Amino acid sequence: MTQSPDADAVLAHLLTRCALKDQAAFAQLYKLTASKLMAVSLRILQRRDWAEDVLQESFVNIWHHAQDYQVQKAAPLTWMTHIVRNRALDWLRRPQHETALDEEEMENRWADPAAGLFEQLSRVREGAALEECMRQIEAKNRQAIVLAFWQGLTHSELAQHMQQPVGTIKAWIRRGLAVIKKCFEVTHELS
Amino acid sequence: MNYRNPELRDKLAAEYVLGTLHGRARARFERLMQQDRQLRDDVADWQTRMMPLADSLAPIKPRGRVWRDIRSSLGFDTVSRRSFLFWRNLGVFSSAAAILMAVYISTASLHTSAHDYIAIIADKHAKPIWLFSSNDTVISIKSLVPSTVIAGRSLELWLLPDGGQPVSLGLLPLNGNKTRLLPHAVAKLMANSHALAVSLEPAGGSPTGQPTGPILYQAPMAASA
Repeated sequence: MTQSPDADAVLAHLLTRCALKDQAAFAQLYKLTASKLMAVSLRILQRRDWAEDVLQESFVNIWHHAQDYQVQKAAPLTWMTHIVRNRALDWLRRPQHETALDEEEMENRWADPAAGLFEQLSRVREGAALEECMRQIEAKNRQAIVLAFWQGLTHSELAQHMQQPVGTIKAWIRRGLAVIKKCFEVTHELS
Repeated sequence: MNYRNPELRDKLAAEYVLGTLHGRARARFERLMQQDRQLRDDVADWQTRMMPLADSLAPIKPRGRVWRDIRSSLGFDTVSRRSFLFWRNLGVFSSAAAILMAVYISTASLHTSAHDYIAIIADKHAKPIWLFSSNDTVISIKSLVPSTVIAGRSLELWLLPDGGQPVSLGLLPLNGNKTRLLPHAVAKLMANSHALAVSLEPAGGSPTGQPTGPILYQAPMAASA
């Protein structure tokens, strides 16, 4: 992802060792990635204890599924981030957690997360490409995509939050994703 | 839904990565993904596009209890005890193995040059299943007890170079002996390797050049020269 190719190679190697049940490699992998993945988990869940529970579940999952990691496709940290996001989104959708946040927390969660994050995107390698592509998306479409990514909102929750019909939300997201895809294709042709 | 339509597949992959594919549709998509390599590739492409969003976050250190809980829920502390027991059992059987090896080496050396590397691949009860030996040019694997593997799968043998990726040494015979030439590039790695592993793979071996299935056995490898 934004790791240097060397860092990617180190993580890929550690994952391969984890597939062979090498506990020392797993400890090293945790040391190198836990803080980054904790940030992802906390961003979605907004509560430290939940975020840590999800981080724990995710690493257990990574240990058991290390052999599924395919070195030739997504970078190691991308693959691990996906596992953490998946777990965090599942956690959010468990019924008992949906009601656990009070009104104020809900407001905070639904504050436009695009605000600070876009500025930070350009700091990371490859983030610049995504930032450029995101800028090409219409603002409301972009907001829907970022809310879905970070808050794990369903189409109907997005519709409620953005006060639009579900069909409109679906179309916005579809359009936004199409722009991203096209934009990346052009970027890759140029490079 | 027609999952063969490439546009629809790509759209679903995007929504899966974004997180807007929910409930049963998400579960169905994950099942499809397991059987469909192209779909997994589409998902990986979308992950690569979208994950910089996640990476722009400042790192936050989790509390120490997280790592302790991970270790205990994976049973690491008990596993290390078990592996201690494994090595102790290995000690009990090693005298038998040493005799077996000595006999094997002495008879083998009548016909060929001395073997440079030797490993015994044993099951969890330390019962030897394969005897592996190699010199600079040839690998020889002897099946000590007949093995079975589920239909459509093969057992693949891997060399584990220190600090490097596993290197395939080919498929394991389920019975009898197997001898094959050792590629020069692999022979050079032997000096820096101290272990072998066996993984369960699709018939004919791993399609990726790296282990894809569970690791069934590991064995230390010793230089016999």
